[in-house]
Amino acid sequence: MRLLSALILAPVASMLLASAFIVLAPGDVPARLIWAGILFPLLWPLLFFFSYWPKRPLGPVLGLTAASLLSGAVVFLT
Amino acid sequence: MEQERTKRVYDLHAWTGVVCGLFIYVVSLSGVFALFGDELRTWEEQETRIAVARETAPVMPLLSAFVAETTKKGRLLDLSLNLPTGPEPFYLATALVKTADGPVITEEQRWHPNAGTVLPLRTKGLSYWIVDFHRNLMLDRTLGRFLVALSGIVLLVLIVSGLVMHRKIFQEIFTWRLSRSIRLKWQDSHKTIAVWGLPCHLMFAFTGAWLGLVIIFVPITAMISFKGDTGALIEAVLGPQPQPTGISARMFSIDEARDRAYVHVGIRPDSVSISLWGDEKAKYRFRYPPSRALISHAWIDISATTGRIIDARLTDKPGLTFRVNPAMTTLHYGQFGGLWIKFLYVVLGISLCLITATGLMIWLERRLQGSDARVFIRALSRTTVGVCAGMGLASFAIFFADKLLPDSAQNRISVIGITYFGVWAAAVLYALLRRNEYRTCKELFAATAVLAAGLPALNYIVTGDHVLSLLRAGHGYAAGVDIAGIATGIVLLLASIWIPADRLTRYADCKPVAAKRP
Repeated sequence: MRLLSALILAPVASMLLASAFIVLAPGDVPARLIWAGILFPLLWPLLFFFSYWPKRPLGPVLGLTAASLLSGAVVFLT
Repeated sequence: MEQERTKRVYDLHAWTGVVCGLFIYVVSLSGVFALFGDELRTWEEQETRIAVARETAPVMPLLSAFVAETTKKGRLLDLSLNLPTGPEPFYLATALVKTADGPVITEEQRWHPNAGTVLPLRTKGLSYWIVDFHRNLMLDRTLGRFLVALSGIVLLVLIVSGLVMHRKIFQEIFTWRLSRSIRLKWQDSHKTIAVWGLPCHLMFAFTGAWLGLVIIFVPITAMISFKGDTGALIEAVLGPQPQPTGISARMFSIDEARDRAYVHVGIRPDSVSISLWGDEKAKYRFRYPPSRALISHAWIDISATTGRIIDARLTDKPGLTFRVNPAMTTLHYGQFGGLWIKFLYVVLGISLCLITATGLMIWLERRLQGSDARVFIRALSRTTVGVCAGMGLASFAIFFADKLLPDSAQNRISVIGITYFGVWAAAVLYALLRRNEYRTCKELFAATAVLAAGLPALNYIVTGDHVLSLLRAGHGYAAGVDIAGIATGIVLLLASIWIPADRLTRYADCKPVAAKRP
């Protein structure tokens, strides 16, 4: 379960979170794109690590799925 | 931190390290060689050992003839000219041309900086392999860069988990018990080197991951924010691209424009990109290597029809945001502070290799000394030694492969590739058959030392140049490669002598012990 979170859900969530950042962050588009590009390789290892942090293995699955869904909604609905 | 969580983080660190450790080692060691991709060129190709005169040959007639010839093949998309520098002491024009049949082709031409005569192009060789193996693993650009970026992501995970797991890591910064058990020796070395190099290793991992991931991040963000229009994304970041007016104009001399740029800035430019050749809006963008600045290039724009200075900048737009992107490559390859920074990067890169290798050795040592040491673990231990020590051997072997091939050889890169992987595979096979990791390491280090120290002899035999003659003629980079070869050979020879021929068993705690968690 944790391996699934680390290998699949973490990269997807980090990509969607970075994309949501482009949509939501203030400032002009080029600046947002540049900071999102920096955010992505920072988020990925942190979320990978997060998959092994909570006591219950279901925690990271739910957390990362929720983050992905929320970011996806922001990206595709706004 | 609760015990169960510590164990979980320990397992994450250990298993990630075991599965990806060798890959990180390969990327790190190839990165050490890739730092000197430019500096290797004059050593690699004798034809380019040229002392650039104070007054170089005018390049405008040469470039105009090149453009006239190139545009017969199709529409000129992009044109750039590298001006003579220390590592590349010649003019090099590169043009991207869209042919009438459809495909985009690259045309190149080199000229002697003093005489203006054509220098024949040499096929891609040693320096290309060394840089490209680190950047793309010689795979397709997108896949290769993505894989190398993954090693950066994994390294970041390992660094974070290592810091969280070893709670006393900073207190034990000076603890290095070299006279205790083998496992303790590996463990202290692993932790101490990791802490001392921590900020730089974090930087290598992050900038490496960014450089690789940006290639997949750009199309995805373009898809999301610009409905798949990558051109619109590039325009949003870089600003609108100049459009031709359709009015032809006579080009202002690039030599005179270069002099104007030099007078304006006081530094000699190292390249120029030319946009809209022959159009009224044509422009020369001269680029400078800004010393001691974390930026890839400073530039000055000069009208290519009037010779008027249009703009001089460090980045497309002002502010921190627009200094971040150009700083990444400069920071990753240590291009901001001259050769001394590169030597510091070599030490840090090798320390990263040592951390990876000692991490693997800790894991293996624990299992090798247990009663359940299986054939697989022994084979893995031998393979690890073969891969780690064999990669250095393969890296120096390709210097010989490249140098011994004639300059006209067309299959140079294939021969280099076959030599590289052939030597590396032979080293792994040797390690498996030798059945003694210590002797294998000792012998492979000695062989690598012989190859490294043999570089000046090889250079002398093939080209007739030796270190002193190269220094006298002002070819510092080529001489530097010879000197670096000798220095590396001495260090590796000393390491080979220092490594014991067999496992040391005189320490009491070297006997099999039950594995304990830190």
